[in-house]
Amino acid sequence: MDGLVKSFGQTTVLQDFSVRLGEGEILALLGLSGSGKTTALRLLAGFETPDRGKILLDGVDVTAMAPEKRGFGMVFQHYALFPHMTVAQNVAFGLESRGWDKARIRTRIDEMLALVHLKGFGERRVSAISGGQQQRVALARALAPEPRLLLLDEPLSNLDPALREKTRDELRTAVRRLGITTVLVTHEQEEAFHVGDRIAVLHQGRLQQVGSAMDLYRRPETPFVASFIGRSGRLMGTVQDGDTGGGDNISDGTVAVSLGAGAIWRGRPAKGVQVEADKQVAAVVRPEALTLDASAQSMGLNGKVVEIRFTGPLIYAVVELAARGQESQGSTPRVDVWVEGDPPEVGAEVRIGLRAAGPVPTLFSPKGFD
Amino acid sequence: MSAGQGSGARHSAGAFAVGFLLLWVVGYPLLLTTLEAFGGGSTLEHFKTFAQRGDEWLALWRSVWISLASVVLAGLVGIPLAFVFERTEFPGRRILGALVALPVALPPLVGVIAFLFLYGESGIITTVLRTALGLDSAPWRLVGPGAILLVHTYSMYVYFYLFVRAALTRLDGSMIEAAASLGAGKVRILRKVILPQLWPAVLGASLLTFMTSLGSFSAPYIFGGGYRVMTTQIVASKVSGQQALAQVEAVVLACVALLALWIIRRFQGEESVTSAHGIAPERRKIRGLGARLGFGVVGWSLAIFMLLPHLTLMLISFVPIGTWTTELLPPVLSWVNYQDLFSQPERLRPMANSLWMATVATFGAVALGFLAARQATRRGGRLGGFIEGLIALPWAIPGTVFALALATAFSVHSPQTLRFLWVGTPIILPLAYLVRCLPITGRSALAGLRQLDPALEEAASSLGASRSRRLLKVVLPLVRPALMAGLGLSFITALGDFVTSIVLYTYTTRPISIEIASALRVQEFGIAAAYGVLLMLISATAFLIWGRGESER
Repeated sequence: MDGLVKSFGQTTVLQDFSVRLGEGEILALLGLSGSGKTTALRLLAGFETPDRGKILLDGVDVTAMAPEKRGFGMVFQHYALFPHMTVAQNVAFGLESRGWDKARIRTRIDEMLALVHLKGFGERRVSAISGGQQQRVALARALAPEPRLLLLDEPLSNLDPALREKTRDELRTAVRRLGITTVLVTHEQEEAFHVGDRIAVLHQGRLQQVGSAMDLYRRPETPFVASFIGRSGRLMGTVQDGDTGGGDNISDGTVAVSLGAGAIWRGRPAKGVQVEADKQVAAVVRPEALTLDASAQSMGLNGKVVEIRFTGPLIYAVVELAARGQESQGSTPRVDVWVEGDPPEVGAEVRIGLRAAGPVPTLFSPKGFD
Repeated sequence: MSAGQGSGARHSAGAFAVGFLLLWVVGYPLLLTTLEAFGGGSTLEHFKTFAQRGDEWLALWRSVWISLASVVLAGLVGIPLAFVFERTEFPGRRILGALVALPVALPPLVGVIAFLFLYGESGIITTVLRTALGLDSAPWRLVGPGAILLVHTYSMYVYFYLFVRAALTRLDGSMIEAAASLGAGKVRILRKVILPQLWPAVLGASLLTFMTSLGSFSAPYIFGGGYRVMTTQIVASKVSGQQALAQVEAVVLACVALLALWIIRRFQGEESVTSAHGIAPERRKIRGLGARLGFGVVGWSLAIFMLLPHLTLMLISFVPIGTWTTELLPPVLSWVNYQDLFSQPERLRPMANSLWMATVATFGAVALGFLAARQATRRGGRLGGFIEGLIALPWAIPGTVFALALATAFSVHSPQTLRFLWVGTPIILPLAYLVRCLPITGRSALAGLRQLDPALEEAASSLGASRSRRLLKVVLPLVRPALMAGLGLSFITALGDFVTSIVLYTYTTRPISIEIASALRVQEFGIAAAYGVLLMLISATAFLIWGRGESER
């Protein structure tokens, strides 16, 4: 997809969207509702025509090609199974459209139903099977004609959480096994991380960052990605010069940032962010980068525990920071701290520090969070 | 947006073609009639004649007040009935509830003659009462506005009954519980929660009743006598050769109809129609033997009253001509009328005419209605709205007016202006029926297409299906129930049509309704009734086969 632009009336829903997909790759388009991810998928499918830009498939421009000519498969959010047909008739539909002979169609239906663990369900009406089974029929139907590209439009959003996880694993396994290049649209980070080889984050019609889940989490390139992906807190600080900060721009690419109250932490500037001494920056800090451990508190910040969040395997302490003279715009007054062992009491006065082996805070211009 | 953006130009061409066809058969005749009423656009002479004649104003006033009174009376009967059958539970509720809706399946003219046989001067009920009370003459005469209103109320309360019942079914029970939990009493709940939610249904039924009344022809024609309303006035002017005056009358009536439509739509527009998703409140069980018995007796009496016209028609159809004069009940019953109908070619011809013309018109209306609805839903925007407007127009315009408009447009051979000499040929009546049925088939198709998830067609498209395959394998099978419902209702309407037929028929193309009216004129009541029964049976069969398609979904 090269420079795609799409507007509806006065509203531009997709701006200059460019992504290159590798053979057999699974790309997840991740974003909030209204971010343009579904529009990008519909442009790819051919249901919408871009105002500008091109869609190239193996070097061939397919931008103006009708959807039925593209040879792509799609799984719709509400599955769009044909209610007047049986499971087998649904799966056969695309094969008949492409002129497959009857014997080959029968074999393919069996293969596909076996792939999605629905052997023996062929003669059922689609209304007589469960939501999870409908989802698998939709996948089988899309995969049956051996599409060149598989498009998945929030295919798991209608399933309950337990089923979603199971179906997500099956979906990934099936797509992996067939090696089909796939684009998945989702607003669920976990789903994108789990299924996608790479994830493209969209916000307000603009592509924010494309990369692996680890890249997005550890090295966010835009303030939106930093705050959208995973839990994070933001602390305002000032970039230190070499003397006070123990040297800036040293070989690991981090710089020293004073957070007030004597705390100086090291952070890594995000891609394209220029840092210089005395410049204000917003440091995005992950909960697992922080600790209440006494050994790391010499350069710590004071605060009070206002809430303990128990999420099963992990426990977070929500700490309200004491006034540091740095609470300007763009800063969050509270940060989540990952707690190992027994959590402190709510109301306890604590001192938080930066964990030595934890992820390094990412530095942005504070304006990015306006 | 629909699938297949690449074929946008083809879509536009299709939309314009459908729009043009609709404009030709729906808009063009009305335009020509209006122009001719203005003497080709050059004179107001005909309108002056209209304005100066007191009887014209009187007819117009009668049409309006009878329509308003019909709304009030039909509402007074239909709304309470809807509450009784939807909000209470008593033995026989289901079957009675269905029987109460029977008048909707009775073609207007058949209903009118059934009333004549029942409550007319020598009708069964009238004779029974006259004999019982020892009177020399009938206690009433079934003529004038009272008679028209009686028939209107009988045939149109069903709109209120069905609309309000449907609205009551959709009522969210939790809303009533919420109001009760907030301290509202029964009266307050009815006034503040239930009635406001029924208002759109009441307005919808009022609109339908008003427009049907305004265009009503059979009742004023049979019972009006000298009491002329606009529809009978138009036909009278046409029959007496005053073509220009008839056109002015038609234009005036069409304007009144459109004005009424605009006013009521404005009221509807201001109402927020909420679609409740909750469960309808439970029906109140009628307890106690006395109350149950009371409800049972009232309910069954009502059902018998509703069935009486149908039963009477059947009885009369078995009475040989001239055998029933002063007796309370017919002395002789036989199949002779039916034998006549099926053995005499001239009697058989109207049936064959009605059947083929209604069939052709219905299939034409379904095809055009579907194409127009598909274009309207795909295109949206102004062109879509315009197409939808054209589909609905024949509904808003009284049948008499439309018949006259078609007679005006297609009585001249001028191919360059797209006018053909079709009046007097077998083409004009099927065309008229088609146009009259277009709102029914078009609306059904629109409803079906709007319920269709656009993703289904996109899914078919992503699976490589061509336009025709998408239409044949996905769209048509899924909208089939809606199309069938439209087809059934449309067939019944075309088969029983009287109002357009009387303006456009010829001896060779005369349909059943015209033959019924002729039989009545020459006092062949048995023949008229036998035709009526056949019409009723065919209509009921069509209704059962196709008309219920929507509910099977």
